[in-house]
Amino acid sequence: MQLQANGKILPYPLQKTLLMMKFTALLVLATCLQLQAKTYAQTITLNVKNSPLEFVLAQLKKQSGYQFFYKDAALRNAKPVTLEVSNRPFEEVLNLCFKDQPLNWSIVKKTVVIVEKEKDNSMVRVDTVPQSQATGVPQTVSGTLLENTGKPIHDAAVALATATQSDIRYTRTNEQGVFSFSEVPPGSYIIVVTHVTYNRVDRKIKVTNAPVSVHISMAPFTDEQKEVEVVMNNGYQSKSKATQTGAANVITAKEIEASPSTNIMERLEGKEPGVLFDLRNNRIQIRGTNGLSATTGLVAPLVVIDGFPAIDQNLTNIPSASVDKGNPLTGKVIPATGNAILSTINPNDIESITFLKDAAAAAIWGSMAANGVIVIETKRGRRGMPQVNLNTTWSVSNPANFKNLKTMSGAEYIDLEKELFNLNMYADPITSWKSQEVSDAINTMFRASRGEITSAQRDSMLDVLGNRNNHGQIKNYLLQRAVTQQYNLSLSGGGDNSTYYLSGNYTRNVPVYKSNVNQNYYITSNTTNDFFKRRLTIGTNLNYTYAQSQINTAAINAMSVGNTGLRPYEMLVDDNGVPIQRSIDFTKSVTDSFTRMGYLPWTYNPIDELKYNNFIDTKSTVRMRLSGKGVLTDWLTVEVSGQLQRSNDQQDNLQNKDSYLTRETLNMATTYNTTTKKLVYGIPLGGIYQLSNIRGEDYGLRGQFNINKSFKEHHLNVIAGSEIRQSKVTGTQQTMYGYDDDLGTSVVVNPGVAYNVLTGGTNTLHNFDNGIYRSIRRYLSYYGMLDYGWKNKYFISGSLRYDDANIVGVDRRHRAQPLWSVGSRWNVSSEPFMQNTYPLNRLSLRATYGVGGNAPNGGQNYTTVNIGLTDPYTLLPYTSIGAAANPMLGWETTKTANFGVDAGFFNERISLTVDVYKKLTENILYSIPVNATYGVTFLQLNAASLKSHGVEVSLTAVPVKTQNWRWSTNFNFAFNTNKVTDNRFPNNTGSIAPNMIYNNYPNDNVWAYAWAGLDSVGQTQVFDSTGKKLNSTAGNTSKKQMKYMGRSTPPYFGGFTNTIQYKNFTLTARITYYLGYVVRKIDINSGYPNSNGVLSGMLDNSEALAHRWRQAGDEATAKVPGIAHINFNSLDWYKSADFNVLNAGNIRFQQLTLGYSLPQTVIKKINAFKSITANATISNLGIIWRANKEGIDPDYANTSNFTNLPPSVNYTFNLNFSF
Amino acid sequence: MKQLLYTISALAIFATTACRKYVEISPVNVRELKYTKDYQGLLYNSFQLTEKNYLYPVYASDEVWTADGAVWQNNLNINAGYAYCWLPKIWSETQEDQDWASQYTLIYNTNIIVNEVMSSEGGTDADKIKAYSEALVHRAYAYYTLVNMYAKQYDPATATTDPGVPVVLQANFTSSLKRVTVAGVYDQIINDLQTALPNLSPTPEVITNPSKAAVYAILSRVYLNQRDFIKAGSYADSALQLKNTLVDLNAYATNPTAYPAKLNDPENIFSKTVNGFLTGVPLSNDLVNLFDQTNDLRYTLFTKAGADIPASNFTNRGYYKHRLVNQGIYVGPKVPEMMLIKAECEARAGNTSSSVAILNALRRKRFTTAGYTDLTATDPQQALQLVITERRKELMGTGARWFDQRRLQKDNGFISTVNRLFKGVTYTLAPGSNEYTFAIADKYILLNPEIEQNPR
Repeated sequence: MQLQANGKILPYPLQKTLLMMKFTALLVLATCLQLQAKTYAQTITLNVKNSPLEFVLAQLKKQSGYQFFYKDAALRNAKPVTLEVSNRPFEEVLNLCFKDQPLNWSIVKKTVVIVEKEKDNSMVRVDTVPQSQATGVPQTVSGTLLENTGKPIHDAAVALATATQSDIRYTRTNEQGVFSFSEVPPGSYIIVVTHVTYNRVDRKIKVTNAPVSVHISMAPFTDEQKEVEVVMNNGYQSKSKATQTGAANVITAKEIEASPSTNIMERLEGKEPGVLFDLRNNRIQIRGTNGLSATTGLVAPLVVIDGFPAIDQNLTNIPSASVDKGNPLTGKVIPATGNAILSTINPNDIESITFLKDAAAAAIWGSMAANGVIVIETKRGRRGMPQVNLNTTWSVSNPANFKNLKTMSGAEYIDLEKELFNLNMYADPITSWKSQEVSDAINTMFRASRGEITSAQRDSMLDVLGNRNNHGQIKNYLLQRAVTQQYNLSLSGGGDNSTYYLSGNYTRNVPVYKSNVNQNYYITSNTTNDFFKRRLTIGTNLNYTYAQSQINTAAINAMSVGNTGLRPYEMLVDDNGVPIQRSIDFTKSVTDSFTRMGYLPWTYNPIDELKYNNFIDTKSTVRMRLSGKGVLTDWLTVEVSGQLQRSNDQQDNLQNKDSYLTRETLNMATTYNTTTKKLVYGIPLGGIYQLSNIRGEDYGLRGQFNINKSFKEHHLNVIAGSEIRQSKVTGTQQTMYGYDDDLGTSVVVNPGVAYNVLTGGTNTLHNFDNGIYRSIRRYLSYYGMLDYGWKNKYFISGSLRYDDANIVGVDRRHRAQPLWSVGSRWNVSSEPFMQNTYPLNRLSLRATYGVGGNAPNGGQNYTTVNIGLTDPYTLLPYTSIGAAANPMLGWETTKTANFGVDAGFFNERISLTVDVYKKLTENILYSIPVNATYGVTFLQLNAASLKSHGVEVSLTAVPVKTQNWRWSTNFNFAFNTNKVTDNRFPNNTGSIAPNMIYNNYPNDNVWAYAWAGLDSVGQTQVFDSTGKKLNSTAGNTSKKQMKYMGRSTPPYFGGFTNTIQYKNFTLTARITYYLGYVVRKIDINSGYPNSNGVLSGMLDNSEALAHRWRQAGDEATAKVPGIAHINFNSLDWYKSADFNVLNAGNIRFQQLTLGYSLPQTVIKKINAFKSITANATISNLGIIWRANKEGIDPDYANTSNFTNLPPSVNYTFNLNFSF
Repeated sequence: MKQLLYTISALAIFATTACRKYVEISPVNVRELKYTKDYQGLLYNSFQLTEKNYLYPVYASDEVWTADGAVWQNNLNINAGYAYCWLPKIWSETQEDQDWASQYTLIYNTNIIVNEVMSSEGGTDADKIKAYSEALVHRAYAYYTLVNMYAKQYDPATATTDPGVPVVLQANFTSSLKRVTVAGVYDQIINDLQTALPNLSPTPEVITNPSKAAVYAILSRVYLNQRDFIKAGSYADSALQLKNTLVDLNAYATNPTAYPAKLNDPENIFSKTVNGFLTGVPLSNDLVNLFDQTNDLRYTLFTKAGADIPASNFTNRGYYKHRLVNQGIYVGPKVPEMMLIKAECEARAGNTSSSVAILNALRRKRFTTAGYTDLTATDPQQALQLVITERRKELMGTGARWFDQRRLQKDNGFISTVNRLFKGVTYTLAPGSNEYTFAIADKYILLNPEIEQNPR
């Protein structure tokens, strides 16, 4: 504990050297084009005696700059190498090293891929040529090597081997692509040509008594061939996908880069079967939910960055804006900042994202693993020449189309106001100076009723108003084109004993709402250093993120229900373009007279407010990781790693002295002293500045042993370790009055002192400012994982983890629980009987079972108490009950069984992965409604169990592959469904409550009332369980007939991506689909007149309201309840009526990308670059097909709210330079 | 080299094979209830918990009124409108009854204290007994509120059979919620109060905390409702012996906003407030006409024309006292109420002159010095009538009238039928009507069917 107490972190071991090499090799495979090996030493000098092959390879790597890529298992039978060569070609030396090895090698781009001979069915071998050696005169064998385009290929390695491979000679092609071997005795030979960017070519030749001349043409290297080995990282270790028992998949940097959206969710949507990216709600869900409530259940997967859980578990981080009251830690999300707020991770830094889906893959994360794990690895440097990468992205989209907005016209809105006026819902504002201002239309009506104007004048004035439409002005003055710019510069490379990766990123995102902007800066530095002949490797990761968002809600407020909302006929500016100043709190004449008395101006216009009312969220995160890895013996390594994360989220809510809120607050606190004839200010003049600060401090410390041992045909890989982690959050809040923005000063006020209020009486500021919010979480874990493979065919795995955490009031017995998994894999295609099964070239079967958990975070064994609070009046320190005791509290556990098949056909032209799983989650913590008579309304109980099952299919194919053309396609499909299994939740409540669960129904059930029409006063009726019509005011307890409508999350979803390549052009189209779910159409907003007893400001102006019941007889056609007799049930029943539930199935065209990379011939002329690529992307192309007939986009079903409109088409341009 | 690596590994193992103590720390800000001050702290949560009392009796009482079609009526919150019209039910089956829930939440908190504080850590015995006793008083007050809202008015003849309210004395979530009889609930209240009484200080440290004076005052109310006028009077007297300061309204006649706030109000005995913020309470013409509108300072200071009350939406006279300091409507026992109870008991005991003397002592502080005249009564019945009238004026706007309307039905001639016109429909509340007892929200009966509904 001392280590943690003085704030130091122990070094963390990196992967063992080999893994590191594999990792960097993967990097090579994954990152963009790396051309030309010319700059590296192409001759090797080596002098080794009985050295392990591994060591020799390391030497070769150092000298050649080539990467080596192989599985540890492959080298276990390697023989020691004794060799003395000087200045020999690289390929020749390789051949010498591998001469007697049970291994084959081939060069794939800049990587030497090593595979076992008996397994090598995916690669071309140097075939044995029948023995036909003859004697005769040696001849010259020469040839030219051309690209299919006719361009000569230089610097290709050419080997001429005898049939027995007893004699192999090497040469290289010259600038003209010509090579030649002299003095070749007659016989059968094979010519093997390899090149870093072309496919290897083997050509058999026969030398007789004449010189041989051959023309060889080579095809450029294409994608599907290089993916020989995929390595995935589960946060604790890297494993080859080919030996993995669990359901896991990795998305590489290349795939992420292929869709250059600035939002990481958009990049990933539809790519990974079974992973639902909910762009609308910023949620990620792996294999459905394990919680009970569809919205509040613990559904989020764990996010791991570089081996440790991220301090911020949101991939997409939206700043909160609830600084104004209460606990700053419980912020609410506001939509003002638009759709593309980036995460705390620079997407360009991501090396790979691994999705761990089933128990065997994820169980190593124990109590945090039940919902799946997302492991993000950031990029690291690789040995070799420095590489510089510059990437710029620019994207633009227009505001959503107002035509999609289903709102009332000005005339319809006035008609609604007329009805309310006639119902005497408004008080005439002239009766008192304290009256609130009413709308222009209502004012006109009052003027007519007072006799100031005739009814004809009134009608013509209302007609003028009704013909106005402010959409155009809102668009011009409050909205703008959304623009995102992103610049990324990275530098990577490495020497003999070190690697580095440095990157910087700047992103600026301007959403459609004016006066909003979001800027992010990212700096990353990842290094590795080897010491003591690579027995010790020290790695460091440093990452700094700074994100600043300016949020101004004036534009959104102008389009929302409430006092600052604009009625459809209320314009922003007059005919001369001058902003129209409206009064809100009092009538215009009253506020004008106050202003004349010296009060601050008391009118509101959203355009002005764009300047004055700003909420700024500044978040910075530092992540530091230090790791050390030591090689103890050739099979045992030890790793120690520590990670420190600090985040600081500062929210500044500066209500400038000119902002309406401040002017209103100050004016209300200002009174006129009749004696002194002066204004008395209750609150100091100046801005109101609220500051809140949330600091997060996380550290983790891990020690781990790795055993990697092969003996004969057995291979054993074991990790075992323990870790501790602490996560601490502190939050404070402060309000300053009389703030002067220029001087940065404020006036000290005593919030307890009463001041006189303009409208009479006194008030106090009594801030809720004085608290410090803190929380500490600590975790202690022991874990182990074992993988055993036999003959590279049979694999079994097992994991065990024990987690403990400081959960208040919970006994250790309940607090900590061992979680485990077992898995097996059979690489069927490695069996001898599977050798001639063309077109099937790869087949493996996987089966796993395990238990993951969720720590019981919500409930307590004992009653907990919140402390450190102060009563605003008595100023006494008080406490409050945090959570009621639940003596039956236990863990949530999820048991998962998974069966998977991986197959490849036609030499990987088609590959298929299918996973089938079943899950059982037990003891789910759920807030069960409790009779308030017991003193609480909800109680967290380990309430129920949930069964779910699903299927995931991923199919990738390359139907066309020619010289210039390549068409690849990926289709993925996921199905997931669940069912609550607990008879404590019978379906007999008879009324719909939000988030209610029922036995034998999915947790995200959607129910509706059987609508029975409107009654004679225009109020909703529903059928009761006996089929009788129920009146909304009956207030009886008879059960209503409830219809099960379906699920609210899509059980079927996936993506369909097609990529067509022609020469240097790439066109990618991505389609996503979500099927089999329903959505409730919300066509009446909360501002329905009189639903909450307040009638002020802009009312609900949903189009549906125009079709409301107005008079007897309307019930024959109308569905929307009338206003005159409205009541709670009537409105509630309408919203929950069966006809308001829509089938939400939809297919969307999400993205179309056209990419172009400059041909090498051009690049060469420019000379400065290694590659230049450009991309243009169109996203949000819209719905292709929808199941509902009303033409509603189901994900944006609240059609009367601008913030809920489907995003408009987005255009993104991306340029990438490599030096 | 090897040694170094072994050292590192040893360190790694040592560092992370941490003892279980590592995770056995309490998170900051939240812990299990443990120390005496944690329990006492629950009682200091006055703003959010202990002060909250009732809301809907305010709407239901006959002193609240506007003409039909007034904007106030049309804009009334749906549930408040139901209470205003004495509809058989106020809450739909998915809604919580805020009044019921707030009182039972307080009961849940006090149950925790009553059952656990004596075995808590870190406090002296005196601290523990203080918290224990204060919790009992709050619990008793909550049950007093509930039994007078949701059960029939106490009637000595039927109290042992009339259903009261569920009595929950343990903080658990499984016990039966069968309604205890009215007498049973009253016994529980008196028992709690008597248990607490000896251990409380005579007057409170802050007005939101219970004291001996508070207990006497509550007991006085309890016995008044039980029609035990001797005890009611005697407890009112005991309360007044501990606290009897009255505000002379003349001091604020020209400067009403200087009226003392909650904590400094010398008339407050035990602070409880209306459960919610009311912008304005429109007063019935009957009540308004009871006032001497020129000389009664209660009228000039504590009421205002609706048009002058911000966001009030009515034009008739409205209650304004709570807007002077904007800290809510006080409904807890106060010195004037104790004087009125004492006066009522004196009148009921036949002591006409002493009854009227108490009334005049109060009224002297309520009228302009110039406009004040003593009341006189010739017989106890007349004195009683004067007391009840004075109660209406002194306790206006607080909902106290609703409980008087229930209570005074046992006396002939005090309560008559009330009519209300709401959105064109006339609603009637006749003496003896079932609607004098609020319905228990359907939600609670659906969750616990053993709760019996009041006759509707």
